[in-house]
Amino acid sequence: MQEAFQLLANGIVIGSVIAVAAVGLSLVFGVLGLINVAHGDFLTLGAFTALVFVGLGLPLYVAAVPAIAAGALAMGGLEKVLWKPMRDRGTSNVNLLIISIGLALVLRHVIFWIFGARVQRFGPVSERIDFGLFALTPQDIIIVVGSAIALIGTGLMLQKTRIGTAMRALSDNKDLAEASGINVSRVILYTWVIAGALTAYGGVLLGLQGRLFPNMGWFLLLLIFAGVILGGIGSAYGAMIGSLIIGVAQEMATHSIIGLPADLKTAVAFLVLILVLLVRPQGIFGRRKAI
Amino acid sequence: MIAYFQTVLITAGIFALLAQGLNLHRGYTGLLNFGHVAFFAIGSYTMAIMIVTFEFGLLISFIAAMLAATIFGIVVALPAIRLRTDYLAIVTITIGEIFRLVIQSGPGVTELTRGPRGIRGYSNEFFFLREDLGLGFLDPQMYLLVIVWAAVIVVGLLLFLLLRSPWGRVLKGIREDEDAMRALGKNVTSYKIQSFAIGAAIAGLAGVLFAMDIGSLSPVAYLPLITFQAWTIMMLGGMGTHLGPIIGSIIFWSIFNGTLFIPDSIVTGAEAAYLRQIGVGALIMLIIIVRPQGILGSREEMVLDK
Repeated sequence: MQEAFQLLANGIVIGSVIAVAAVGLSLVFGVLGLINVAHGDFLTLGAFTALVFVGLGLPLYVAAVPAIAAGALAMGGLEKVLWKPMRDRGTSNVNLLIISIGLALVLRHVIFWIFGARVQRFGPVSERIDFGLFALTPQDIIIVVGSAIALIGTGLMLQKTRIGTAMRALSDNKDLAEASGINVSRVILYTWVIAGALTAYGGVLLGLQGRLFPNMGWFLLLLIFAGVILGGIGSAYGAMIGSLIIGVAQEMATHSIIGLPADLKTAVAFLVLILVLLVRPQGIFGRRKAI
Repeated sequence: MIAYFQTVLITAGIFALLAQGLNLHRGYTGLLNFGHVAFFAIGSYTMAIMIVTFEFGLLISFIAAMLAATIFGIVVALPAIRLRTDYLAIVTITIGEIFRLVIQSGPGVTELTRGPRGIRGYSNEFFFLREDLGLGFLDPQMYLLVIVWAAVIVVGLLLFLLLRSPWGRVLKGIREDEDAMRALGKNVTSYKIQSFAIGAAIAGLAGVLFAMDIGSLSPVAYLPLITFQAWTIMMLGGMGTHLGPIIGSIIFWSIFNGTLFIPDSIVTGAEAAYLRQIGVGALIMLIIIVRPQGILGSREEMVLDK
């Protein structure tokens, strides 16, 4: 039983990281219909930007600010120089997906080139605190709280602000949104900027777990997809819930009763992803017409 | 210098096969397969396990490898083929990763695949065979090169004939307009599965030859990067053309391996490896931006993407 609670807690921690990244991916998909394979590498970008500033002697919570700015700037900038011009030329979504694969390779290996392959850390990970049923490091707790703040913030943004309403309108029905006077290009740009900020922030949270390496975001990408698709692709709230389920499911799979080797736990999450796509492609919260 | 051309041509031939299979999926049927490396891996591993663990002969192991890839292709295609194109992309890339994780650490499976330690010692019979084939005058590398390119040419001819047949015209019809083919009474799903299975078999063959080239198998040789390289090659040469995968592969590997000539004083080996991957990524983007139909493709045929 103890083991189950510990795995549940671990699952919630990793699920929280996945959730922050997944919301960004889901927002972009909702508004543009684009599956951005480079999304994971923007987590890495965020984590390593923060690492640079931590190296300059800043505390991590300060270093997270330039990291978030870098993510927002990178995704927003790419919308300006790459995605928008390509869309204007009538490039199909399939070809845009292929471009994002190229972008992922470029971004990841630029990070490899600059920082090398070795594993780095923000700082030493503290001792676990025993909560009785489970034990977590202070970093783990910061991850969960930090993720919750970002997710609630995003939820409020979507519900309460004009831009959030416009984003929801756009993912609901692009033509109708445009006809009702929403400045589509501007909303798309803001969507990228918000997604970039969230993703880079997610990268900082992922780095807090302990290990920073250039493949960190790429390795998380399929888990992010799994969270997004399980929750219902294009639904930001679905992405949050789906990610938590994915996080918990892959940790639980290593429970001694099931006895799966830890190496295979991601395979479990991938299997969930495939099953959802086959059985209920609209996910838990998605509507069928969105598919 | 000769060694360089040999290496380039062997790798180019193997990847030309891989891209030929992919071209059948993507170029001729319009299927987005991003898990091609799984069929490649199943070819390598089936052959190696048949020879090393079960001590079967080379020919039977060769056939078994292609058969296994075919069956796996059908198993993957049966459920996945009905999905929307971009979902098919995600499912196939995921299947590729699951497959790699399972051969690396699947309980029970690792007794056959030996997990990260990998398999070796399966290629002796293949190289001894060159005496019997009357190719004894060739050195092992040259012999492998001949076999690889013989396979590329045979597969290329078979694909040429297949795609000129009524069967091939249905495939192209599916690529252009699935609903129209359905309206004509064609069983679109069945055709797609057939296309998937044949492409997978070709990838399995490529996997067998790749295994002979590298001499020992391990799961790290089967990263998703292999799939992306095959995609780059296919797009570079031109999707939906017969010579595209071949020309694309030769150009791709000439450039890729050519960077090995850059002296260490300019970039170190590790840095050069990263720069090569940056180059692959940039090339993928550049093809789509500048010439999405590739070198040989015709624009009219390839801009019909939904």
